[in-house]
Amino acid sequence: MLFTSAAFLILLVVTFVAYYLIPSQKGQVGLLICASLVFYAWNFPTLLLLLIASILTNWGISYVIVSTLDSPRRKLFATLGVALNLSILAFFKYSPLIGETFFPDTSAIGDFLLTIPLPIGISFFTFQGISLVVDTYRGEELQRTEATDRPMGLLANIAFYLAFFPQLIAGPIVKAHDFLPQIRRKFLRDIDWETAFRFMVTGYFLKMVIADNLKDYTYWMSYPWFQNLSVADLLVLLLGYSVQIFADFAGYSLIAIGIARLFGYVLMDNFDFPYIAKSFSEFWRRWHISLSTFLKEYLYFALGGNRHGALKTYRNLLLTMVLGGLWHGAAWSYAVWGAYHGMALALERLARDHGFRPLTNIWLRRLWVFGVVTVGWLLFRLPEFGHAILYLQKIFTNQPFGNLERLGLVLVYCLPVVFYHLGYLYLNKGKTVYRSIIQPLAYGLMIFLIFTNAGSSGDFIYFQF
Amino acid sequence: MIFRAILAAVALFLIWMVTIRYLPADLDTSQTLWGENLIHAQDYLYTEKAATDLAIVGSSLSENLTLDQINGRQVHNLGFSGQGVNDGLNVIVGADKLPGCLLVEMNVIMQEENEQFRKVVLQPATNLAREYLPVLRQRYQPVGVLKGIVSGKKTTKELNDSLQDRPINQLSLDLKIKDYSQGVDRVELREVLVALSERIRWLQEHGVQILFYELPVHPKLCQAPKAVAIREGFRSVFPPTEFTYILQPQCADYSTTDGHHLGERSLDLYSDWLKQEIALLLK
Repeated sequence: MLFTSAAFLILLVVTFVAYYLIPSQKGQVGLLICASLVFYAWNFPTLLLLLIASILTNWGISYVIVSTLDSPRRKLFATLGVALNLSILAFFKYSPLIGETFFPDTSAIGDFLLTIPLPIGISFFTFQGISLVVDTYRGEELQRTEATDRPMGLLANIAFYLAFFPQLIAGPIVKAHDFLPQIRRKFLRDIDWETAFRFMVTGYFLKMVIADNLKDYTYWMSYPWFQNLSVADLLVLLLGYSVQIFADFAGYSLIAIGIARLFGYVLMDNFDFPYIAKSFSEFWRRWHISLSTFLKEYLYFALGGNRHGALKTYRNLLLTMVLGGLWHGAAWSYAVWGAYHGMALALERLARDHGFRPLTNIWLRRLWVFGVVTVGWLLFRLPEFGHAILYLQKIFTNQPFGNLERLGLVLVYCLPVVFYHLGYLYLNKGKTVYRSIIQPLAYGLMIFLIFTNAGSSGDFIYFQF
Repeated sequence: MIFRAILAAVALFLIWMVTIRYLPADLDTSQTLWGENLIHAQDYLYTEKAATDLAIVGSSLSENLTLDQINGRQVHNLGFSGQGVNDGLNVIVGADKLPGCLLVEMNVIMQEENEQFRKVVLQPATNLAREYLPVLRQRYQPVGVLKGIVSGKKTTKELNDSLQDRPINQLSLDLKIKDYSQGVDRVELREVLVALSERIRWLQEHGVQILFYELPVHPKLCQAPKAVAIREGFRSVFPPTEFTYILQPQCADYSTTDGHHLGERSLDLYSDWLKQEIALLLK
């Protein structure tokens, strides 16, 4: 179910009204679980079975970990839980890639692997399952007595944590130790309306006005159509795609965070104006924060982080980013994209360790990071590696100018995202003029454009991951 | 802040509602192919029509036919880029008034109906809102209006015949030659045509005159197995004894940009020829 669909709006309103009429925590959690299951099952009801299986698996493992006092056995169960989650993810997400890579066209196994469907949101809820198991093992979350005395209550909380519909299919990836302590009865009077409003309006604007409009232009970046474009078209569309992917994903995250606020839950910020980053490490502290912190906490640190010398640090960075790349999609181009960012991070660290800093101007550094990141997105748009290379080649060989009208329109749709970042840098939000004039006007303009200038509704890019 | 933001949005709505009243009627505000399709569909839904008007349903091949008026009767073009006959039929059936005559393109018949397009155009609540609030229509998107004013253009299509020389169009032609040489799944074709015949006969029963026409394409495609199979399929489901066909003219007399789409001059030439043919056949 799309956040931009009428069905979703009805579900949201009905759930919201019923939620605050229910006088108990149990009832509220139960209602949100039901709404979440409806949300998930809307387009592909059979895939609901997988989500339920994931919930039951993580509940069983967490219960066993909490109930076990013996430390080695707790570790064994936790390892088993992580492995089970990763197996589910690997089976559904990577089977087609394995089939395509390792089995010939005519092989029965290859055919079978290619037919396995990719359940929407699997990368997100399995990672949350891992977080639950690890946090339970570390003793950060579930209280032993409470969990063992009330196994069904534990099941409800875990189902709620894994399936909570705002973040179910495209994040932010919520960590168990952040979410579970928030489960309690919620009251209408506690809603921070203004924050929820700001998140939702900005999110819907980024998605419906920016991303959905840019989508119809960046369509021409597909193979073989891009071969006919001018250099200016190729460059501006690449910029457009960079803005589109940000608007699409940040938009989704903002809507999710805003909706969660309506139900009294605070989800972590997922984007912090990433295109103003002055370094690649800063970019990853600002882009898809919930994934990068997850990878840092549960993978990079587990590999040893930066504690075992420079070489191992570079290796760990590269490995973390390659796996992070593969998390995005079951194609080798995503691994290459991850390696590309891993190398950028490692080289940046190497340069920093040796005091080498060729770009001293802050804006040149921002442009450099933005440029490198933007070129990297080409692998998202053209997952066939050869097509991405051909696109780059065409930048050097095609005619310089083409369809100026298209260029102008793409730039117009990119402008709000530029202002969004510049506003963050330069607007003094403490000033009265900002709060009483600029802010209401900006949100008013966004609402106006959501209704009058939305693009054709399309899936969120990150749904495929 | 929420109240002031909503107030600002309402003020912008009101200002925009007044502004669009003063925009030239022929201002080209389309931004993308999808948007252009929506503009055509919404224009059909929300403009006054006479019971004698003509409508065209078809693909992007028909989209730029310049027929305007025939025998003083208005022509509404519902040829859509990337879409087909059924999408146009959905709009016609969804509108409150049927045309007097319907021109049905035969070339691109296997194109599946675009479900998203149907929903966007005909979803009852939004459809009603757009009917009474023109500000919500695709034609009046602020960015599109801005583009129209800046570019000052009245048409959007890049139809220069010289496009033919571009490698991608040669590639496109090659792909079409390959596709057309493979023929068509006759069972599937028949299913598509039988489904179409139900809708066409319903329109006929409601007094709509039906004319089938086939645009000229690249000479290598004209008599290719797929084109021949589609022609035969039409004639078996819509017998020439019951339906009127405007036959495809000599393809060699026309040039295309990619094998399928007529170039600018050819499009004018064919439009003039088609107008004359239709004028003779109109009841």
